[in-house]
Amino acid sequence: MRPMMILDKVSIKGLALSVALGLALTALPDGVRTASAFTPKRIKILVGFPPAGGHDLEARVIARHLPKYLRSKPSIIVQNMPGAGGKIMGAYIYNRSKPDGTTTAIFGSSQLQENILGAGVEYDVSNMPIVWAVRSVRVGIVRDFLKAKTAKDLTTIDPSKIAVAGRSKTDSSCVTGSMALTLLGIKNFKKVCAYAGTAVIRGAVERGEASLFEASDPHFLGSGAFVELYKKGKVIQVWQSGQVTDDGKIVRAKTVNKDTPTFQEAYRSVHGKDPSGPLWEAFRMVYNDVHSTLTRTLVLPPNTPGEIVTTMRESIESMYNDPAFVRDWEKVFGQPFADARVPAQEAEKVKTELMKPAPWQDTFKKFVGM
Amino acid sequence: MKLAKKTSAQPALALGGLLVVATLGCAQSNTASMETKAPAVASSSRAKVMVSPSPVPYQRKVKVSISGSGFAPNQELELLIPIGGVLSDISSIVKPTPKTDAKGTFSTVWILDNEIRGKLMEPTGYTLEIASPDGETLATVPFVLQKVASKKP
Repeated sequence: MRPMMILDKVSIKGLALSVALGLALTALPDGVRTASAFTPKRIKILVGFPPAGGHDLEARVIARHLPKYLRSKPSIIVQNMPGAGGKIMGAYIYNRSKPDGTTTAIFGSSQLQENILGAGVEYDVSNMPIVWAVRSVRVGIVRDFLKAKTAKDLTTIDPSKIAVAGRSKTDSSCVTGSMALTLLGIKNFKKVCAYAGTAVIRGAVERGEASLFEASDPHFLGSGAFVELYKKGKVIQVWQSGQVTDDGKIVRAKTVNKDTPTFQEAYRSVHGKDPSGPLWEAFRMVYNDVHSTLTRTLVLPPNTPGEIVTTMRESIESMYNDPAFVRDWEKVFGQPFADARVPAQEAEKVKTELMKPAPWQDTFKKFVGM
Repeated sequence: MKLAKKTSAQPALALGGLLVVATLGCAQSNTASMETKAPAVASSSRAKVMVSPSPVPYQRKVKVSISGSGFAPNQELELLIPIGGVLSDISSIVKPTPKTDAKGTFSTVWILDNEIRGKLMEPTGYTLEIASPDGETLATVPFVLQKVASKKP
């Protein structure tokens, strides 16, 4: 067909409009090119904690960059809804938010853990699609006055001097710290599990009220809560969760001091063999999957239509390739974004596996006393 | 055929997106004059809002009273202000939760702490927006954070 024949069939006005629209489309970021009926004017991101914590900062980075990757360029509004360790916000999005994509929420690993434990929560993460996830590495730290530089040293000291810190008896630090000590054969340690947040725990550790805390790698980077205490030698890293490789091995993470052993290595140094058994299975699932792979997720309410879930995931994937977003995220969290990001589909798979009834969950519940 | 259909739908949607951006671009303004004297009062055609003290001292744990009148009775309200460069609904962190009474008035208190500790807010002028739960702006008021002069010995 000759070009003139095409021109014969369209009006000049129509052609001009097509060219203008074509140019407009080319100017949009990649993520906006998929056709979608999802065109909200505004989207809320709910956060179950006060401003300036990890969940809040995550929400704000997303809010600063995501609008340009959604066709309708919505205003993204962050709403802090603190209370009961995120349970109030969790119940709100699960039971009261419309499943139309205009309300999302940041869920942390402790909220997922409490769901597994059935710890008085009014939400079920199994039914809440994940559209964003970041991982972190857990790091077990102890105070210098314990005179324990390794897990093996910890087994030789008076256990009553060990005080595990946390926000509640079902939070990440209290649970995984206690499990780790139990796996190492340490009994009769103390638990102080009623602090309001990481900043308060940091103060308690500094004062010596608490002597063991399960931190995460961002706490040792940039302006993280434990940077100063670590630099001064007041806290010592005794183990880390490490990273799970594609073939299922647990290796030391590069975002943590390379001399800090994985918990598996620490266990081996104490018992002379690899960890095994029901408690280890439960610990591995909680320590490496719940609290590492799914450290923070962005979720949608149950029954959100698949098209909205897909649009959100595609838009977020496009945002991942935006250098301005990556720079902003890395400035806030002080670590390479590439090491932290978890594709939504992978996060969804891990979540589904974790929520499926399994024997490790019974062991876990029994350990926590639920 | 499916691909062709999807492609033909793109230009119209893209144009719609651009129009929304232009509209939002005109509507957004987050700064207020630093010359505001206490208390800050602003209004829409009927609704009036007051922030006290004004300017608000830029210090941790400062208590700010936000009150208003002339709203619809028994209405839930959103209080929107930029925090960390992001428009934020503070209605769940102020006490009590902002809701008008039978006369259309409300009063609540915001204690700023982490917003200042975490440097998410600076000593500058902001606009506090009062909106309905579906996002309709009902009133705005200047919200000025002012650095507290350091005490000299």
